[in-house]
Amino acid sequence: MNTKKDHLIHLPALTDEIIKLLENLSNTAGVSGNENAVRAIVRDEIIGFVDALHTDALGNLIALKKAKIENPLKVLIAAHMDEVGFMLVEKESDGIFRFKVIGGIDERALPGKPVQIGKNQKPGVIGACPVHLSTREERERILAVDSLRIDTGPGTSDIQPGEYGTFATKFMRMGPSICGKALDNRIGVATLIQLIKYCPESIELIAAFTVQEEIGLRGAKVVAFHYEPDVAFVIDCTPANDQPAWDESENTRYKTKLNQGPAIYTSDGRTMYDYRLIRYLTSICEDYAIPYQIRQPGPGGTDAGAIHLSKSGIPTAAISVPGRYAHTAAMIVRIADWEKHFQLMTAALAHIHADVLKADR
Amino acid sequence: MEEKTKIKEFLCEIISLSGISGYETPVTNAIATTWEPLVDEVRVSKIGNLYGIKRGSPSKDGKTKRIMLAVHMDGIGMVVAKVSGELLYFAPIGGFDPRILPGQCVTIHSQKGEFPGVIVQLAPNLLSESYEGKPVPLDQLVIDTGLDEQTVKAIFQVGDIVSYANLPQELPSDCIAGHSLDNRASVAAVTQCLVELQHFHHQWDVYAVGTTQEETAFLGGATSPFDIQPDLAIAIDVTFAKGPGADGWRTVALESGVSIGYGANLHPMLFNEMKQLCEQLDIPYTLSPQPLMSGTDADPIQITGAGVPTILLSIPLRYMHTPVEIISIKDVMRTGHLMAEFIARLTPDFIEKIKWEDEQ
Repeated sequence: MNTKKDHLIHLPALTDEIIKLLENLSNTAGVSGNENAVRAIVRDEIIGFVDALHTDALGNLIALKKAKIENPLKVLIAAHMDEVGFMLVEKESDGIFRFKVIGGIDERALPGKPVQIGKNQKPGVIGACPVHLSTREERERILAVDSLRIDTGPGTSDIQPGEYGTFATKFMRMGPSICGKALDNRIGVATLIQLIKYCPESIELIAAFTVQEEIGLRGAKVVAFHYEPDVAFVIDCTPANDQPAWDESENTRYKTKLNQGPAIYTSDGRTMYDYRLIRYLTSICEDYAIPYQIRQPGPGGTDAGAIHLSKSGIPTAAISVPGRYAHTAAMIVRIADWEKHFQLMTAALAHIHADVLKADR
Repeated sequence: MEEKTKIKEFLCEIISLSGISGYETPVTNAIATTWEPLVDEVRVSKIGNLYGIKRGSPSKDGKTKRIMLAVHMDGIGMVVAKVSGELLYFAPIGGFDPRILPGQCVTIHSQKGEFPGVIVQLAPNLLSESYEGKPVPLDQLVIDTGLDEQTVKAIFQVGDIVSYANLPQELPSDCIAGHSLDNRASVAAVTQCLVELQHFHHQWDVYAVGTTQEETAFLGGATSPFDIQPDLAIAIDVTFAKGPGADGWRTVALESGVSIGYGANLHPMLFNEMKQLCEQLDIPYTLSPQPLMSGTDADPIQITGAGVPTILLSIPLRYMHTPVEIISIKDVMRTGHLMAEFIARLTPDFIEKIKWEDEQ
């Protein structure tokens, strides 16, 4: 197919500076509905590189880069800023709060974790009953979120119900990997910040840092409606369940694998992705010798689920960085997978052209 | 610097170190460094107990009595049980509830150095059953180090020790959250006692003892009194503070002061002495009934040699044996202060004067 690749561009590397930016983004709190602190970092990073910057009614941050040609292709790239977390809902006693989970956190990942609360990330913990005081029967049941409390310690009268919380895990390097509480999807955010800097002059770029993805793709829905792009790319994270099975039988349901490069979606729980864009992306990978993998079709979803349904429909693709243990205190991602993802997106953006969508659908 | 701030800093230092039962050395060394200027002699026994000896003023007959302050230094942790591809399976050291494990950041102590890892539960289709709505059992949880299979194979082996890696969190009202506060909070209390004894005249020799392996076999609690042959012993440990998931007769309020043990393992007349001293000094205290074994170093100490009159002092702590235990520094200071005042009042004939109820 014709991808208009007259000449290959130089692919940028993932520098320590970009990893440092991710560290800052991952350590910052931005639970769905309260993405302020993340948005502030993004705004500071991109303000000198864009033609217009807008925060909409939901809190989506949209950066526009104008093309230098007439009737350019309008390309939306969306990366959600929000992360899963908690909200304090009731003060039960001095420093002890009932809380609710925001987004898809497995209850079993909650007990015994350090957390941080509110704008100033004040310390707290999710405690658990001492093992000495519970029975064997009790330990065979899960500690349901309704039985757990966030404890900020006595004398914390300045913490009130309504405040948001996250796990307190600090970003760290682990050899070829990185680990953090909010790599899903600050990796996408960090990547999109870079992509703005590599945008070609032949397209109009709508770079959308979306909100509320984790609670129903709500931010992306209004962005797609308002900006009405010709084509959309969603960048996110996706599970790599590629560890060996307990009985050492073949693991056939791994979703994606680490070290195999960016994961391109064909279908998930929300979207049948546009095959013209899938072919475009795989051909870019082949031309640039970027390793890639097709995410195993199955449940799950990305902002594409909302975007592709907008107005008369928007051809949409999604490309994720594979990672393990998303939505827990500590997600792990291979740096090499992120770099290949960043390079694929840079090249895909450099060569995107209206002809890509000319094929029948 | 205020004494409380110093103790808080010391406590944060020693809960940032690993000291798993049987592998206490990192924390032993840090405690020894802090005790050294406070005592006349520091010694480590052949199985790892730390002895800080502060001599009392010599008595006329040259026979000085000995009080032992026993505080276990070790904490719970894990040990690598199987290296499987890039993942590590593990077994517990000490007792804890596996439901707190998924998502914990840990440090693996290999012969090649220290490496970070995360305890994780794998996707349902990779487990022996899906465990939908049930806790994943400990033997199916794994540690992911972020390293590839070859590197993992070269670095780790069965038997490598695993400790919690989360750093201390300072909460308002002088509370601290972190792992191993059971029993480093009590180590801090004994340290505060030694600090206060610098300004006190005392007649008894004081043996501050950091014991080993309390969480597994009471190794230090069983062997240190044999080495020292104390005339009187205080075991200092933590007790259950009321809070989410903990209520009832075994719990006391956080920040409620020293909890004094009462029961067969503890000497009832010494219990009375301690209680009266708290009243006299206006130190808040609670009673901690121990109907059977106290589950502390007091149990083995009491039955060492010809028997040792033993007292148990406890510091209230929330979420025991999780990495997010919480204690109040106020309770640590109170416990340290009470011990210093008690020691300063010990006369050479203190033990002879202690009479059983039916002998009075």
